[in-house]
Amino acid sequence: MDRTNGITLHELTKTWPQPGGAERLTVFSGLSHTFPPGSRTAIVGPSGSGKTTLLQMVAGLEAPDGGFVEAPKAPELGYVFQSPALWPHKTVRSNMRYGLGEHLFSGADPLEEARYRDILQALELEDLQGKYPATLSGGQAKRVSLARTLVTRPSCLLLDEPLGALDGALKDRVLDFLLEWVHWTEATLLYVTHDHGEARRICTRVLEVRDQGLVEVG
Amino acid sequence: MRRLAGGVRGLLPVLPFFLLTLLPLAWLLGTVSWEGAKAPVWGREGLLLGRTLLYGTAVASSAVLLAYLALVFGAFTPWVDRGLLKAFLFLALPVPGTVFAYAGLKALGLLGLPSRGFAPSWLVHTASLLPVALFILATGLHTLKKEPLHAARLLGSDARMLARILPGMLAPQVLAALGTVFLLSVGDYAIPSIFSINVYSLGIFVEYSSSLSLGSTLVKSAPLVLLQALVLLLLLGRTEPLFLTGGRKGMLTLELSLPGTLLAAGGLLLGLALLLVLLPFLLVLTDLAMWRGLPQTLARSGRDLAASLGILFRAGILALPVSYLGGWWLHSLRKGRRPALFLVLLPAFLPGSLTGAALIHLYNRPCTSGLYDSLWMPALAVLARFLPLSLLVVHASFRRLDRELVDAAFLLHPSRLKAHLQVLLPLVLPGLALGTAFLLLFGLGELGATVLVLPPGSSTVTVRLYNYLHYGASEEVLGLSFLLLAGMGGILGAAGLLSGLARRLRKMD
Repeated sequence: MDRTNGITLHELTKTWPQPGGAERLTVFSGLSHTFPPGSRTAIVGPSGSGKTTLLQMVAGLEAPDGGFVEAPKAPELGYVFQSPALWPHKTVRSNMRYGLGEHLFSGADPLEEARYRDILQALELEDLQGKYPATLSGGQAKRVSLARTLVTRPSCLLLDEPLGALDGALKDRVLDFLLEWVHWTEATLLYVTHDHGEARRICTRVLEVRDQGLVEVG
Repeated sequence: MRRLAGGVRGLLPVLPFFLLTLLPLAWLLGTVSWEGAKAPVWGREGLLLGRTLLYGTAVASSAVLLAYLALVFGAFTPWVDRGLLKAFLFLALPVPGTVFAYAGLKALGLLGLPSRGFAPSWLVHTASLLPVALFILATGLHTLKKEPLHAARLLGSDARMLARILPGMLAPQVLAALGTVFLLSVGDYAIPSIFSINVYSLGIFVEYSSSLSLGSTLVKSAPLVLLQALVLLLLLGRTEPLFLTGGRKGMLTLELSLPGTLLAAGGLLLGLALLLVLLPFLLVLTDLAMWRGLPQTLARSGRDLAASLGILFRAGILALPVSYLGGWWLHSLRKGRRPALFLVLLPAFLPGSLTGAALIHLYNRPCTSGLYDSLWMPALAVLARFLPLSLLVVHASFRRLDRELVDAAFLLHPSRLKAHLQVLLPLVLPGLALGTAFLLLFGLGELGATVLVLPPGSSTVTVRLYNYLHYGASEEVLGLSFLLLAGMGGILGAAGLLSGLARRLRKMD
């Protein structure tokens, strides 16, 4: 598996329609940037500034109006959405194993199985495996969502406020595990957050969405 | 005592709705004379009920399966024009079963296929209820969130998402569509009777027409009505939030990359669904182009058309305030939503013949003779059967309003009446126009109750069409089908104009 996937943005432009037929709002204009393989970058900025839009363009879920993105495709690319985005009709276990593929059920791959167990334990989800998303708290759902992506071991990880609903000691433990996981996998990380402290703890660079582009802030 | 008074006051907005929909049946149940009522022959009745349930299940499964596959393909591939798809869907939704029967007979004749029996009736009934299934599933797609689907696409392939994630996420909507189509198909006898199929709802009509005994009619209706009530209860238990959702503006669309074989199969199914839904329009219009006797037929049907329009006018005038008040009541209900929804929806699924018989029992008395001998009776029949539809649409409009906006209206206006008239009514006016249009569109094709309550010497276009379909008067049938489709177009056009006007006025404010 090639573990050296970086992300490059080429002259990205993105606009949004405005209510009442007003002129379109420009979110990004001519944005070019390179996130080298294995880099850990936090994206910060006020609500509505375009952080999530940027991640969605990188993941190929949102088409830019101009320019293009060079990034790995799924399954090399993992994305944890701002909302947990769990499938309500599947248990925690089924949600988490979806990305591992069918072969796991017929004859488990020992490596994948071990990874699944490790992540389950690290994110303290062992007791929740048989539960459905509707019965989980916000924090539990967020952890399942994170775990579902991590078990596929993507080489490029996009996280959109992944610890939003967590607090206190649990948040610290999850953050520690995430940092360890990123170090170990050498994945390229784009981490969207409002929390500058969190951003500095896990990432080596912090960029702010400002003036229709990205500006380094720390 | 104060709580009781508060409860009664809380029910006031919905009182007109229940007076028009459930009172006739409640009155019938409370006052019917059982003297001379025939005891049912359980073996024969059971067999007929069993066959009807089998028929309803076949229609519901085929309509929902086809609708699901066609809709998924239509919503998730880039080259399908969704606006056009929505327009077709809206246009076909209220086409009466009798017009579908005409198109079905014509198409089967052209193909040299038999036009009697289970298979043709099932096919035509599936086609006629396909738009209902499509509509419910499309509403379901409006309520789905994109993120879980995107997550599945990123963790696997698009085809795997379609096979393993989407069906589960849409399961409540699929269930709602299955239940609704089933309930509608077992409560309607127009299409099966035209294709010489005996179903239970036809039995109820025959029982009332031949014996004129309300007791016998009630006894005969009881198994079907109880079964329908049970299905509705089960349905609401699993899918209640669907009926109470306001939905969101704009259908969920994802542009998927699928293998060529899947694309071809999906395209084929979408084409088949569209063909079935649009067949009445295609056949009526192509036949009309070759036929010069239309003006004479239209002239002969003038009285029926005038009666139909008169009925719809009366129903529409009453429906506007009743739907608004009922929709507001359902929206502002804090507790007991499920039983309330059950009572609101039940009248829409009752067999038309039972509703007609109940109306006759309630209004056939000296003090209401003026009403009984007029077109108000079929108008009341239309209201009794289809007010639930308009109420639900108005309720959905209320749900889409910002909560704070509604609260502000009542805080700023000392008079509740003023708050309704000056703020809320203008905001839900497009929904009210759409809801009333639904009532009128379905009312135009109403047969089961209308045929029993029409004043002597009167007929509607639908009743006349149903009769001619049995006699095989093809030119008259064509002219009447055209009239119904044109009437539908007129109602849709008027509703669109009103709705557009309401939106413009709102912007000017």
